[in-house]
Amino acid sequence: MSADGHAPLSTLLDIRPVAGRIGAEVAGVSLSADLSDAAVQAIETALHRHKVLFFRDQTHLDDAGQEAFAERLGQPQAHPTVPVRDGTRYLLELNSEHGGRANSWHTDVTFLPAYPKASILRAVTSPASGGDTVWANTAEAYARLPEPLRDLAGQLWAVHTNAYDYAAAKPDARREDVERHRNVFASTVYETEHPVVRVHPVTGERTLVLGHFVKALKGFSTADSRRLFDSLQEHVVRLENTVRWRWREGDVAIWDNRATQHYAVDDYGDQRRIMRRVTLAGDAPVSIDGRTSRLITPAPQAPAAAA
Amino acid sequence: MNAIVDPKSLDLAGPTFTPAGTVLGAEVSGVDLRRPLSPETVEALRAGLFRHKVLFFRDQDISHEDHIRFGRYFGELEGHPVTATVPGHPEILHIEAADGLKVTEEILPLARSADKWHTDVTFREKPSFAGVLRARKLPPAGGDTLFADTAALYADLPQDVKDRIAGLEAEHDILQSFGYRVSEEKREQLRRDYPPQVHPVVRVHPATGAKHLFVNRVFTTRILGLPEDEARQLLTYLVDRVKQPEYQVRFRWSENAVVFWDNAATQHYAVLDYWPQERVVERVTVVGIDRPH
Repeated sequence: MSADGHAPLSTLLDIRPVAGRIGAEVAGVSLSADLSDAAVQAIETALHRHKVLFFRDQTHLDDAGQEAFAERLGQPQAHPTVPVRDGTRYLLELNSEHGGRANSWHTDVTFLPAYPKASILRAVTSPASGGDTVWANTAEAYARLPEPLRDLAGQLWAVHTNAYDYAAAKPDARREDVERHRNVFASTVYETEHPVVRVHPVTGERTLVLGHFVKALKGFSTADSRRLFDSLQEHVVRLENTVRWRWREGDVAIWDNRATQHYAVDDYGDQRRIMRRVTLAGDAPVSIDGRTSRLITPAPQAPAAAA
Repeated sequence: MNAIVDPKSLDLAGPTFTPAGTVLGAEVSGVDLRRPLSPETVEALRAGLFRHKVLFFRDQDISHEDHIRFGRYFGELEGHPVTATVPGHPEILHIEAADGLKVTEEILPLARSADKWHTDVTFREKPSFAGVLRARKLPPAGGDTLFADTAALYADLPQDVKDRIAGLEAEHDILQSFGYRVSEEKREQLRRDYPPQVHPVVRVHPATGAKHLFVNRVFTTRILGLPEDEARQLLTYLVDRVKQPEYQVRFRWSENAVVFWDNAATQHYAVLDYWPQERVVERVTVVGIDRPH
């Protein structure tokens, strides 16, 4: 990399950490497709370091602007089962009036082998109070596990699926939300095996791959699987590994989906909350010992289909 | 508007409360804690405290004397059997992660009780009524404090659990959290001075009459009157409910911020994500009004 093509981050972006181990607010940037290559690179570098970046006052962005900006960071990708928002190519709308309440810890789309590398979320309508999102740093979580547990985690594989028991996960869910989950979100059932520890393709960090799409840990009884999962998942979401963001309209958050989990706090009752998300294509996780995640269901038709 | 303003009338304008979350917490403006407060302001703050459960004040560069005066509007102040105090001010606790101990990365997770959800001093017969915390030294990032609403925790319990815990009592013991940090001699003294206390699992707030879930990870040792396995599972279930973000508000400190919480209505958690950076906060603690019932 040439010296002049790699200006110090501080001269390009004003970055202020929000919590001790994750999250930074980036000031003075107007997100758009027209950003310089250096600025885009600086955003990516900051993203890999802080795992989630927050940009206030991006009210100039509309759906097309959000998609165009996203293309600078990677290849946008529509959700595998939920239809895109009308008039857009990739946008997923999370609308509180239509079941868009993701209040359990997860990493986006881990029921697929090559799940997204990053997500770009824009607050279109925010409640007066409530509706925060919390992110957890899965690289810190791994690094801070007691060593014997770290060794164990490195040997584990988990089956992730989108056909998890939504009603059991959300006992208070409205009937139409449960049906929507089954008929739309899980209209095609996917099951994927991921290593519980993946090596981040950019940073080389090891991160824990868990969250609410996990159906079972391979090779354990249901009871053992549940206890082991809970034990590891609890390390991920320790408050020390988290940052909580209070949204204002026009805020944009970008997170490294390979190094985080997140949780949309469902505490705003009947107020409206509308968020729009673009995800960027990612690559299938690779375990510490070099094995790659694989799709189980639907059964791959040919070796090429799994690519 | 009057041309001549009596200084007191500024105070009478009274505090305004801006909710910081949907469940609990409010930012307070319109109050200067460096000055004596009028009885009306004190009453407004008391009412605000009962309503919002935790109040956040910004930019209050208060002295130790101001800190003590503010606490005393709400009752007598108490020290703490283990935590260090500010020299010359036995009623002001000096709280930091290392806390005078030689703390290493290995023992840090064990070394502090504050990085776990708890209500203060529930090992006392009358746990404190309120706490007033001020930032003295902050890390560049991190070190937030979270508060959770224990009335909402109770209200959202399934009815069968409410039925099951009605009338149950639990034991609270200082030694469960502080025991390992002190010498054997001090441990024995704590055992004598602070014998385990039995409190109801569901507490009625002395001022509002609301029901609150009143067990916590740090001091509650066991639920009484149930088979051991069942008691342990029930306690784990109850103390873990607080981890749901829906019940929480997360406060990001700033220089000279002051936090005032209703200790009968909340649990809190000091996030230890800044080590090895330093963080020092000071607390005055208002004595409890009642024995929990």
